[in-house]
Amino acid sequence: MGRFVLRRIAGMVPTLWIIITLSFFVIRLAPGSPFSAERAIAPEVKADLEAKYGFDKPLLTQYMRYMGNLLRGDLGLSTKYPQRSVNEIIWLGFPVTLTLAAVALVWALLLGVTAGIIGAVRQNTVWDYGAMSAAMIGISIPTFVLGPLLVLLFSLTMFIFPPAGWGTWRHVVLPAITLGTIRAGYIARLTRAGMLEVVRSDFVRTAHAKGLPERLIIWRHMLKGGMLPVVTYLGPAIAFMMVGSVVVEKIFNTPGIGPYFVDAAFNRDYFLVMGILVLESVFLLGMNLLVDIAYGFLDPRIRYDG
Amino acid sequence: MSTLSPVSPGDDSQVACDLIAGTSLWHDAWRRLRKNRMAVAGGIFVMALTLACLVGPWVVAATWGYGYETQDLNYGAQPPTWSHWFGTDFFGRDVLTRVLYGGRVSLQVGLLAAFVSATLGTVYGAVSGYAGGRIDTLMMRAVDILYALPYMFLVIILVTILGKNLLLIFLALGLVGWLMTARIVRGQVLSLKERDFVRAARSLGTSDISIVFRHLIPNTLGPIIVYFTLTVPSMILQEAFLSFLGLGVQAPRPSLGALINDGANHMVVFWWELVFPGSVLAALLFCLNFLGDGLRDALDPQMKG
Repeated sequence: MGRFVLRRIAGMVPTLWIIITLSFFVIRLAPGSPFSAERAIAPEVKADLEAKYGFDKPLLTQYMRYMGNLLRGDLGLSTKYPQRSVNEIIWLGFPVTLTLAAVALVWALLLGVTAGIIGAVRQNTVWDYGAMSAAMIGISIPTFVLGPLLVLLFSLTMFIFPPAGWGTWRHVVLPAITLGTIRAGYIARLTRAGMLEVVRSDFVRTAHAKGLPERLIIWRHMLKGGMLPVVTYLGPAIAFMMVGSVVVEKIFNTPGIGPYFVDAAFNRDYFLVMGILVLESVFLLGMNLLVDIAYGFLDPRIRYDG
Repeated sequence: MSTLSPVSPGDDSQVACDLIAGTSLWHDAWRRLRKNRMAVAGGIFVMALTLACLVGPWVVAATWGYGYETQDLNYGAQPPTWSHWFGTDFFGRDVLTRVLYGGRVSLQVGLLAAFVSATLGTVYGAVSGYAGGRIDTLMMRAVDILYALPYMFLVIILVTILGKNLLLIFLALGLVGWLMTARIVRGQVLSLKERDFVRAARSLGTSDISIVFRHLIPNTLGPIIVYFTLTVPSMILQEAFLSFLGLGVQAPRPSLGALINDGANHMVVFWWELVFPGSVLAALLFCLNFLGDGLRDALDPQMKG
């Protein structure tokens, strides 16, 4: 197990290096510069600014310097927000995005797994069709439609939750529901499919033969088998939530990291774009590793040797 | 002339072929699809909406005489009326016409991007699977690395770099969406290439290219079509996502995502600007998803997930 984890972490390094190198050169070779969008600035000022950020050096030198700084954990300076380092912006925004994503994930799992169990246990009944239609509706409503609709309903008509901002638990509810509902739809379908897969397996038949009560069979035997596809989906689900947070945080004016990204890409804020991209990549690779490890605990047939 | 010549084995098989001709994979699939009421309803709705998007703006223009950018600043934003079914926006533009135009853009981008990604993925996966060995390992390793990319973030970067151009958007979406198709096709080809009909073709001296394109790919069409239909709604969703962020189609050309963004900004007063484009997009995705699901069950009963 330990060797498996080490090998996977070692395997992540070249992937990460390719991601960073590729995006570094794509962003840097793109037309436009961080200072061209602003009103015309004097050439001396521009030269000064370029010297400050090191843009006057050859690209390869800049790349080497960036990688060196990255290894020391320094993500550079933002060009759009000259007073703040990228580390600072991420340090402030990322916890907010993570909180939002975590609550959304809990919501998606609660809703999705429940609907999936109902669908599987009452297969081909009204309950099943109802749960699966609801899941399909959840999948088909984009976050940027659901979010404004929820605001319209719960904030501007019923005044239950604040329409925007951050700070109390009330601020988390609507964005988390917006972000999580679409994933709940997928999770419901995966749970149902996974459980139906094990319904006819030998260990469930044995459990029935032993005379175990139905409730125990569902909770102890079927659910564990049925969770496998769901666990596999958690990696992509979190990835989708990171993308979705860009839109959700824009709708609810949440001070997370998402809106910075689009802004930074537009303004060619090189270091900020790179910083967020690196952070997301490390985070996603880490989550995928966790999912693989969790897989081994859930399914004793999987062995990580060699 | 009418001598009772012994029936040759060839004729025999001809008769047998005629008898079982009705149960080909496609015929079977069609029969299964027709039994799936939700999928049929979804298909009909998608076709109706496509037709509406194609001829709708023209009908509206012929009846009431306005296009998607015809403004009436004196009229301004008005709730739905008999001559403006979906109401009008801030500039007095007809929301129905704009939604239909937006639907056109969505369908175009969805189909083209899905087509680009399906083609790329199929060729890549088939070549990788057929080549096997070290080439296969290398090609699939590349797919694994690309799969680990936070790719929607890359699309955002690509779009800000390439500029807001419809062609470039579906290219960018298609270029990053082919990975799953490549994996599916490779898996199929790996098992297919050991089959007798491929060996027979090879022993007849058929070239590798011909084997891949004439024998292997046609046999993987089922899963490819299934994955294609499931890719279309996700591409439509991603285009709308980009348009919502202001990265999609340029104004004044409408797209569903941009219309929803407008609507979200004005929803306190002009709810119809949000509700109508939003429900059209959701309904389109809903029906496409049901159609894709039905096709999967019909074409490939073993595939799940």
